[in-house]
Amino acid sequence: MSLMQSPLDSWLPRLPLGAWTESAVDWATGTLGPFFDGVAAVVEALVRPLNDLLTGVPAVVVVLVLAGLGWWLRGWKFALGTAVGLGLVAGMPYWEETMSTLAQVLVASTLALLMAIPLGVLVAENKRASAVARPVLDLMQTMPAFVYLIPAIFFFGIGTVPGVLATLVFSMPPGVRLTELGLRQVDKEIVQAAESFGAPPWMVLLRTKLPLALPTIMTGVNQVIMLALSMVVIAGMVGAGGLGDVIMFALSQVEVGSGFEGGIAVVILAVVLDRLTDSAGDRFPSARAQRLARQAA
Amino acid sequence: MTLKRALALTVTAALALGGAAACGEQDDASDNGKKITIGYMAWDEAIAASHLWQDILQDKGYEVELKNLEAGLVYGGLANGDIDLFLDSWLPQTHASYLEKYGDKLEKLGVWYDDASLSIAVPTYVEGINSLADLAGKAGSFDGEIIGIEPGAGLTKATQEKVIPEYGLDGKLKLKTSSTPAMLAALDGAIADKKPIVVTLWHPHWAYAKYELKDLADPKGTLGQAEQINTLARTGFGKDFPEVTAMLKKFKMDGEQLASLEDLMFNTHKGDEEKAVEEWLKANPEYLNTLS
Repeated sequence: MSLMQSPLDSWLPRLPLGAWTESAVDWATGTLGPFFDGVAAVVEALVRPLNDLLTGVPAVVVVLVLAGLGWWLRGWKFALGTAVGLGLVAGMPYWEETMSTLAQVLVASTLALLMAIPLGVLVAENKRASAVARPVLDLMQTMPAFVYLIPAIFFFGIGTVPGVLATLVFSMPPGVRLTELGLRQVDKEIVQAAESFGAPPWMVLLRTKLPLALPTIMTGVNQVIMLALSMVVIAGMVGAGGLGDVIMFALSQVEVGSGFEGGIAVVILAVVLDRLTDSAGDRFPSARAQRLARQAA
Repeated sequence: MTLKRALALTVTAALALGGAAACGEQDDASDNGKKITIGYMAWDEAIAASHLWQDILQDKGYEVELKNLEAGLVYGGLANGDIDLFLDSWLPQTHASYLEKYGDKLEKLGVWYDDASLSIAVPTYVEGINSLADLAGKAGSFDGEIIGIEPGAGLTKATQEKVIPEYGLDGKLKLKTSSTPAMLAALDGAIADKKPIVVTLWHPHWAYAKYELKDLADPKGTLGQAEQINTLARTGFGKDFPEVTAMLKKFKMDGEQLASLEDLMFNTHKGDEEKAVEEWLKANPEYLNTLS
């Protein structure tokens, strides 16, 4: 790497940003070791049983359960589509990898949402928190996904745990943003009405704002799951296993066939999860009320 | 609605029960402490040797997991104990930097292949070029390109930093990096069309069995001397798995054995490594006896 010489060189000090980051990570690996071990144990305790469950039962059971969910949430057409799509995946040699990818996505996105939604409420209610959170969220979303893997390896070695945690960090921001957006978009007049009945602020939040913001929050949930799915594949690079592993191997061997099979499995998983979370948001009473109001208008 | 709910509940209950049963089985398998993780990067001889040993050890009753990672991560994994075994350590040169960093956290179990070397090769029908020194004058016939492999490979580094400057190829031939399979695809295509091509390659490789190739002489020694492929294990592996360690210390392969295994794995049974290993072991029935 040759650095360009420019007249500004003497004016601009060379910031040892990389060195600082390295020493920060070094310090964290040493000092926070027990904490990271605890985190790793928790993630392991969540992923492993779910992974064993999904890979342990016959594929046909998983297909039926997801199709049943689809039937309940969206209707028989979608159920049929789910059954056909997942049936196709089950017919390929990568069912087990697909299920462990699903397990990782479910754990990572659940953990991400457990942090993202309360954070979203906080930044919606608090202007200062919002100002602080915005640049941090921007950084989280624009940082190239691969970069998250590097500290993850340092803190958690290789395997499923660093993969899930890098996925968690990568997929969190839309959950925070859309929760904030949903709460800010709630009609001021309705909030005022609630307040004029003497409802305390937490009651207004719980009984008025959150229900009305739910459809937007569910969009956030959906986005988190989609991002998690894309990251889990990248996490194949650090030995997280699952479809990422299949795709990485296909890439390094340039095996078009198995790469495509792995890719299609990801696509089908994504479509099913996307539609399921999408329709879950429409089932809340508040969403139904809003739909009826729109129809009446 | 109620019918659907009932159905969903029934199926979910079935799933939960099945899952519980599966968990019960899982525990039995992982309790006996016979799980071995083999790390490998997607180099042909690494894939071949790792799958061979997976087969051998599974027959002995071990649970073997293969993890495909970049070389740096394999060494890191060995050093912190995430990975038990690594069968494709190129020493003394190619992997020297990793050994420097992690050498004190590894156990060396010996050399299993001792004639590994980097090369720059052309098909035999390319005439008038027998040495790297001949390339500078003929750059035009190769479209100004040496077809290389992965950007991070030691072979790429040696070609870029030693071969090109020392044989005066700067500005005449560029090293085009992509991936090993892409290089092999380019080689295959050029040979099919009888076109001149120059590639970075190495021994052991099945390409030498499949095509008529010649290595270009390297009078300046830019590509280094022949290397050895070593078996490495994490610290403490020898104590935890004495039986496996004893077998691994006896592990040896000659050029022909490895080339035939790779040919089965990457050409005949592409995508089905297990089948390739089984077939190779059938064709070499005496091989397993050399390990005990």
